[in-house]
Amino acid sequence: MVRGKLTFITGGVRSGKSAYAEQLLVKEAHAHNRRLVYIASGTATDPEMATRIKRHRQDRSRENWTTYEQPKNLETLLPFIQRGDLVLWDCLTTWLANELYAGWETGMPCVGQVGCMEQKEVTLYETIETIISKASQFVIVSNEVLDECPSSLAEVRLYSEWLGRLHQKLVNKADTAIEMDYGLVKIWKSR
Amino acid sequence: MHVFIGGAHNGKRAYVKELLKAQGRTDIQWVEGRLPLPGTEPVVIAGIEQWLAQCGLSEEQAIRRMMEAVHNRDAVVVLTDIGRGIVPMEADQRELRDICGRLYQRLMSEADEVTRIWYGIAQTLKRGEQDENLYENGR
Repeated sequence: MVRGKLTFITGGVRSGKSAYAEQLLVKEAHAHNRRLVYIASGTATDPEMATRIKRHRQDRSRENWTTYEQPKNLETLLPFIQRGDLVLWDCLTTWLANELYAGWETGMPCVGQVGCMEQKEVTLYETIETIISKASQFVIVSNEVLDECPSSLAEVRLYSEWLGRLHQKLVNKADTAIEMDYGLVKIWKSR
Repeated sequence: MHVFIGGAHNGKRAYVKELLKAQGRTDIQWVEGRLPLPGTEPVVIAGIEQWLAQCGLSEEQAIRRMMEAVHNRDAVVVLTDIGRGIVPMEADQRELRDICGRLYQRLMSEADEVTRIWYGIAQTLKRGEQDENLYENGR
């Protein structure tokens, strides 16, 4: 089986990255009659977030997307991925926040445990490899948040560090790496 | 002078280290979060934003010190872009962003080469000024 294509897309808020990512896969779906799969990692933590999720859902309703809500543990989705699927994951930043702070309600967040996030990182890369061994395309969407003064909060600095580390690794793994700026597409890497 | 710029945790230092290794220049002096004394030996300067935050100098003095440190020497400067986030609540953080921005502009205008690093990938923003300057200076 041919390895599917991995695409990494990042950009600022409202840069049009989700729309671009969706369009990319919809075109493929029409051309080759393939299934569209959407993995959503955002959770409705407040009304604004709920509205945001609703808007994304409406945007996708024009096409036949199969949606999986997966805030954490991406690997549990693996049995649901079919050969030839066009998979979109939106987005890495919400997933990272969910994983990094998982367990905070019991006073034992992952971020405070030695080796916890490292283990999740390994699992993530394995999951991505497995997805592209089945799917024909896997698009990962993330955010540009690292061009500002380091936060005064240690937790936020750790988050930034992890996000940068994941981005570097994913750009390295990706066949295509794209930065979006207000709807403009900058292709940093394409093979 | 060769300036490298990019957001935090984008792999800037790793890229520069790889480049220096490929050029066989692993013994080059590397200073982090401070300025080297003015001199003629090659140097890598990184973490200027940390130096700026605690050096206690006025903007004018800071820029002068910086330019003296890189003057007339083979310098590699690693800059962290901190100017594209939400405006900070704290006045001193806002001031730091402004000073950084103006210092970075000055460094980039004087640099022979400017490279942006995006998660380990390099893009040339500027190159070849040196030759033009040499020509202008009639040397």
